[in-house]
Amino acid sequence: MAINLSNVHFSYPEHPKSPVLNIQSWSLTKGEHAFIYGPSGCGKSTLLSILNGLLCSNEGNVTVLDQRLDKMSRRQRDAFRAKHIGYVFQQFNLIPYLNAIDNIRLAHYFGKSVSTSSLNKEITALLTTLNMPEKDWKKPVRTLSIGQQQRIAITRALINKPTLFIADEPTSSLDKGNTDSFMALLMSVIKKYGITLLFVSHDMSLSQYFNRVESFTDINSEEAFQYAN
Amino acid sequence: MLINIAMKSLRDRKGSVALSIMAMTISVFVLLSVEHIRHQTKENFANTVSGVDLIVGARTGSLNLLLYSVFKIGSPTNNISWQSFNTITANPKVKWAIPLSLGDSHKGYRVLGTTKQYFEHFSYGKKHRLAFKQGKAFTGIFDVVLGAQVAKKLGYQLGDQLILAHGIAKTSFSLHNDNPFKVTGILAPIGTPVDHTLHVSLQSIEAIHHDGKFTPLSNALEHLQPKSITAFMIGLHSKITTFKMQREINYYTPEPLLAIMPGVALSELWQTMKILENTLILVSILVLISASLGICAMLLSSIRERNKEIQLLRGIGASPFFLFRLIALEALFILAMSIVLSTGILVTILVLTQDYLASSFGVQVSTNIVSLGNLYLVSSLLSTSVIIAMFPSIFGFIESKKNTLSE
Repeated sequence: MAINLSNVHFSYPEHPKSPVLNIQSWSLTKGEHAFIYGPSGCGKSTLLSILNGLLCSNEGNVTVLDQRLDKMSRRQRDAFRAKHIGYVFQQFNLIPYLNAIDNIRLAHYFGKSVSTSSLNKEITALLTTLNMPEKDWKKPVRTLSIGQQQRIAITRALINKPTLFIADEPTSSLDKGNTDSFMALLMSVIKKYGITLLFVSHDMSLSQYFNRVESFTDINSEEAFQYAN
Repeated sequence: MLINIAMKSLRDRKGSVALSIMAMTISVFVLLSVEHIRHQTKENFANTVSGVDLIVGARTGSLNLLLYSVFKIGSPTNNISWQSFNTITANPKVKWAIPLSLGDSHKGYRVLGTTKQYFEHFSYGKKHRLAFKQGKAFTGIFDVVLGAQVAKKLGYQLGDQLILAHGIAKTSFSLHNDNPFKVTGILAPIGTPVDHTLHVSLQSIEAIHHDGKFTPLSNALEHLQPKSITAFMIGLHSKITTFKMQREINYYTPEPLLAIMPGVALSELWQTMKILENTLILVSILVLISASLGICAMLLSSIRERNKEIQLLRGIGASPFFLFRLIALEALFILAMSIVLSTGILVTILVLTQDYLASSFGVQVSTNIVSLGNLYLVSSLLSTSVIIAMFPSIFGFIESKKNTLSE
C-alpha cells in the first residue's frame, strides 16, 4: 500500500469546532495513478498536507509507504517527506532567486539520498528528459516562463527518487497547450520511474490521463463545505 | 548550501539589504568613532605633561593652575615672586625646576618665558623629551624657539624676525616693537600645546617690558633677573617625597602658593569632561538601538513577504531549525558587513583627516583604532547582533511550524 487512511479526522487548531476532514477509509496501491477532483476549498490541500506530514491528523491512522505518519515526530516527518515524497504545488514551486540547478540541489540537500558525485549527472539527465533548454539552467527561475518553472518543479520533485508523487493542482496556472505538454511529460516520467501518483485538481478534463478517478466528496464524509484557510 | 541560499536571498533583496547595511554602518561608525576619539583625547590630555612631579603657582584652583600652566588655556590669577621660586627650588629634595612666565603673545600664539631647563627636563607622552626639528635652544635675549605649529602656520624659518605683543589677544595694540626676536630653533611636532607656543628666555620677558629701547650691549643677561614668574614645574630626586614637598609648598608662609601633581589634576580635569563623554556614548548607543530595531523590522517584514518561500522550503523537507539558521545567518551577515564597513570608513576618514585634526584642534588622533575599548565595543556589538538576529529567526521558526500548504 502506498497510502492507507482509516478514520482520519482533522480540524485546524484555530477553528476546532469546524472539522475539515473525516475520512473513514481510503487507500492507494503502489504504482497506481489516482486523480482526485473536487472544487477548491473543500479540504483537498489539507489532506495532502497530512499525507506529506506537514500537518498531523487529530485522530486516525495515516499510513504512507507503510509508515505510520501519525506516530512520527515532526523532525521524522520532515525527513520522511524530503526523502520519499515528490511534491508539486499549484504555483511557487521554486525559490525564485535561485536558478534551476540550485533549486534542484536544494531539494537534494534535504533528501540526502543520491551521493553528491553523481548529482550533477542526475540533474542534467532529468532536465534533459523534461525538455529544458540548457541555456535556462543557470538563470534565476523567476525569469523563466510558468510552463518551464512547472517542469523544473517536476525535476526538483524527482531528484530524490521518491516512491510517491503528489501533485496539487500543478496545471491551474498553465494554459491549455502548456497543460497538455506538462501532463504528457509528468505521466511519461512517472511511468518511466514506476512512481505512485496522487494528482489533485478541479479540472475534470485531466482525468483522461489516469486509471483511477475519484471525487473528493466521496472520500471526505465531512458534509459541511469547509474552507481550509 | 545554507550559506549559498542566504547569500543569494540577500542579493535578491539588495535594495532593502543595502539600506539596512547603510543604517547599521552609520550607527556603528558613530559608536566606534566616538569611542576612538574619546580614547584618543583622553590619551592626549594625559600625554601633555609627564615626568613633572609638581606644578607650583599662585593660590588658585588646581584645575586652573593646570590649564594655564600646561594647556595655556585661561589666564593666571596672580604671579609669584622670583624670591619664592629661588627659596623653594633651593630645597635639597628638588632635582630640577622650570620657571614659566606667561602673558605675552604673538599673533594669537602664547609666548612662554622660561629657561634652558625647559628643553632638558620637560617631557610629554611616555617621557619623551622635546626635540628640535631645526636649530637649537635660545642663547641670546632676543632669541625665540617656535613650536611646530607656530612655525608651520605663520611660515617662519630659522633666522626670521618677529615681534611679540603684550597680552594674549590675537590683535594687540601694545606691541613690543622696539625689540624684534630672531628664530633660533623650531621644535618637532608632538601634538600637545607646546606646538602652539613660542619659547623665549625669562630675561627677554623682562627686557621687552623694560621701558624704552633696550641695548643688549649695555646689559648682560644676569642683570635682567625677573622679579616675578607665573608658575614653575619641579622634578624631585625621589617620587616618595612628592607629598611632603607638596605640603611644604602649600604651607609656604611668605606667599600663598599652590602645588599640584599633574597626574591628579589631569584626572580631575577628565572627570569634568565625563558628562560630555557619557552624553556622546549615550547618543551613539541610541543611534545603534534605532538601527538595530530598523534591521529587526526589515527582517520581520521580509519574513512575511517570504511566507511562500518558507512554505516551499518546508514542503521540500527543510526543518524549522534550518529556516531559523537561514534567517539568523542573513541578519548576522548584514551586521557583520556593517561592522567591517564602518571600521573601514573610520580608518579611511582618520587617515584623511589626521593632519586637519592635528592642526585645527591640536588633537593628535592615531589611525590605529585597535584599542581595548574598541575591542570590547566590537565584541559587544557582535553579541548584540546575535540577539538582534534572534528575534526574526524565532519569528521565522514559529511561522514555519504553522500550517504551510495553504491554497
